[in-house]
Amino acid sequence: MPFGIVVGLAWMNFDTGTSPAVQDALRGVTAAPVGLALAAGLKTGEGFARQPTELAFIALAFAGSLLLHLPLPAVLAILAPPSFLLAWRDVHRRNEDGTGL
Amino acid sequence: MKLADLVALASFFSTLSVLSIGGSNSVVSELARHAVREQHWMTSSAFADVFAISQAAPGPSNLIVAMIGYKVAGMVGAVVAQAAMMVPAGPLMILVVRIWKRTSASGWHVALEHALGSIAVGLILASGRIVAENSGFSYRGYAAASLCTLLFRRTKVSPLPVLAGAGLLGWAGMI
Repeated sequence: MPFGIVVGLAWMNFDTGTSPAVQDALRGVTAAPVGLALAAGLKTGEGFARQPTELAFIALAFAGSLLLHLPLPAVLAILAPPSFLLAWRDVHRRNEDGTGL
Repeated sequence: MKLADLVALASFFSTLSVLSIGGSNSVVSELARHAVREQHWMTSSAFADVFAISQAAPGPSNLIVAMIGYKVAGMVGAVVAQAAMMVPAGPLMILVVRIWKRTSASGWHVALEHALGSIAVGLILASGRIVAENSGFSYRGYAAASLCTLLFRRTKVSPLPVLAGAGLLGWAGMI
């Protein structure tokens, strides 16, 4: 059902074009899902607030995707291994300190 | 509709489906990069429209995939793209969830969660920025998006009325 609705809307949008009023409404609508996504990102990100390694990888992933326009597989191939190794090292350090995560 | 288009859709979305760590929010920047910049499947403003429509319509938010598929190769393209996005990831998810539940206390599990979690957050931020850019947000658009972020983070308000309200404000020329 939703699939049919969306294809119908896609058809309306691509094949008949959107009027300026519809474009304005859609631009407004966009603010909500962007907010929703950022709120979800913030929720995860807040957990990393005092962890420099994680914050660095947030910045690197952002830059790789947005500024360097790297494809997603490249971003993951470049960042995931060092990100994992550093997080792994931190886990062990914290375990030795007895502070946990 | 050409076979090459369908193959391009299937290979892109099946790859994306297994790489979408952090859910559909984090892959929007990749969708925009591929569909607009690389393949020229659509203009950036058409991408912004498609994003808004797929979010406002009922159903899972990854229906944007069907709309991109439709743009490239019509109805068949929509079906191929959506199937490619769901089929490879399904069995993989079940497997991952099984392993994940068993290992929640181990060090590598925590490390992986932090490693992929931080990358996913970076990708979500990039996605937010790219959508704002493609939609032609003015400072009012950014203000509205910030307000929505705050609202969703601090309250338990349901997304639908916020979405409708934002749409109305946009229609009134205020965003």
